[in-house]
Amino acid sequence: MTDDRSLERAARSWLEEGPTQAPDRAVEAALLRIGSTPQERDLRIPWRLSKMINPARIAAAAVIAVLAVGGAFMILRPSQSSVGAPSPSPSASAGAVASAVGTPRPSPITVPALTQTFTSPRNGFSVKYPTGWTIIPATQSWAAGTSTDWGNPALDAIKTSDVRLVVASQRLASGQTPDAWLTAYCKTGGTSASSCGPQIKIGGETGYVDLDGEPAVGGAIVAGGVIFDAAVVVGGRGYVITMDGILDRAYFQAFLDTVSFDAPSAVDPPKALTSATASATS
Amino acid sequence: MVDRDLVEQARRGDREAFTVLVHQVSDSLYAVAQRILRDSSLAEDALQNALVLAWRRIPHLREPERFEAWIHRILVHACYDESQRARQWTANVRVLPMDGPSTPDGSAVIADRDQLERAFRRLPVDQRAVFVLHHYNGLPLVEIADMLEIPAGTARSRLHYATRSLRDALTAEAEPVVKGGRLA
Repeated sequence: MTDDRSLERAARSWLEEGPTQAPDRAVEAALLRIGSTPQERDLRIPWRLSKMINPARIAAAAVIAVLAVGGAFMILRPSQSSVGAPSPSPSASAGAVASAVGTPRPSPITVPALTQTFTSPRNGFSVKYPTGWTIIPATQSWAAGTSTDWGNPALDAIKTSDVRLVVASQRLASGQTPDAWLTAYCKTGGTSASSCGPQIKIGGETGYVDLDGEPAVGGAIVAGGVIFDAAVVVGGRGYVITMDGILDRAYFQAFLDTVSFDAPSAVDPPKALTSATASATS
Repeated sequence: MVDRDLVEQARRGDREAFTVLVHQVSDSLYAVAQRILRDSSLAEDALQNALVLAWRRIPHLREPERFEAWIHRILVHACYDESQRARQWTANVRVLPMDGPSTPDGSAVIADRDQLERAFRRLPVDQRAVFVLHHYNGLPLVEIADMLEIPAGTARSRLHYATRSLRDALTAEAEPVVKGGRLA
């Protein structure tokens, strides 16, 4: 029975022999547990995500994440200093941490050297990235009112096996203010960009973080990864920069620091189309 | 094929819809778990954990039409967890009943199954999963890779090593008898 074909035949026959019905007790026990188990919130990428989460929840989640990461860091690596950043104080209060949400935390994940430069052919920006990462340039423009899900051809993607950076941008509609664009993007229901989340510096410009290290699920580049998402308006364009995978806030910030905006070089769909579709967004 | 509307309802938090889904898929999930883990109580635990996790995570499911592949992936990972949790099982396994169809050469068939059982239990659980999904569920390797979110080459390699290990184990068990008339 040791040639592959007869082995496979015998294995199939052997596998067929086992039970084919789940015991009722197992199913009932599962349903009982499900009855008292809450579902996780749907944390998707931008557009669709934010309408399900209010800013207070985001802030609370960010505080919890910062406390958890900071606590774990202090407990697990008490004697190691972070790359280029001071160690957090173990006596920092929750209030102090909350007030620092918009500030990069010390990173226990080493940021690779950002030695290469990618200049987007469509989205009007450049960013530095590590050697060896894969580039997938955008091939389409980001139409207003559409989401920027993974794989959207409007995204410039730069990635390695466990971290991914994607960027998209679009021209603001005629008469649309940066605040209006940002609140529409974040879909928080707020009236100003600050409702998106804490401020963050992106290539010297001030943007907002609307996903701050949330668990990345549903299509994330790697299981157990987290997602960061920031939005900013520069030169009449709204930019969205997202990173997911094994990274932390400082890692995200390191990439944002290298971003350089060049809005006039961006390629947009014909203006009439932009205006028409934009009205559906705002 | 499960009803996409039920999946959508479950995604929105409808427990009744999810209960219907559970009844539709639990037999298939249990059968797979039992074959990967080769232990009824471990398979029951894996099934329970997979169903509860699926309920928690279903709001994140982006493609409702892929519900079955998605929940099978959760199940396989639950099997990995159970296998790790029960590493000591090898001394205390419950061997499946070998009451398959009788044949004129029944003793040889039983011996083969017994050898398969022993050899299969020695495989790493990730190889067992691919082997079961391929030979029991009849899934092509590309689909298995997609389901488990692993590269197709990894799926192929796991199946290859599983098959080779089984063949080698069976050959090793057979050879001493044939060549020397002695038990290994």
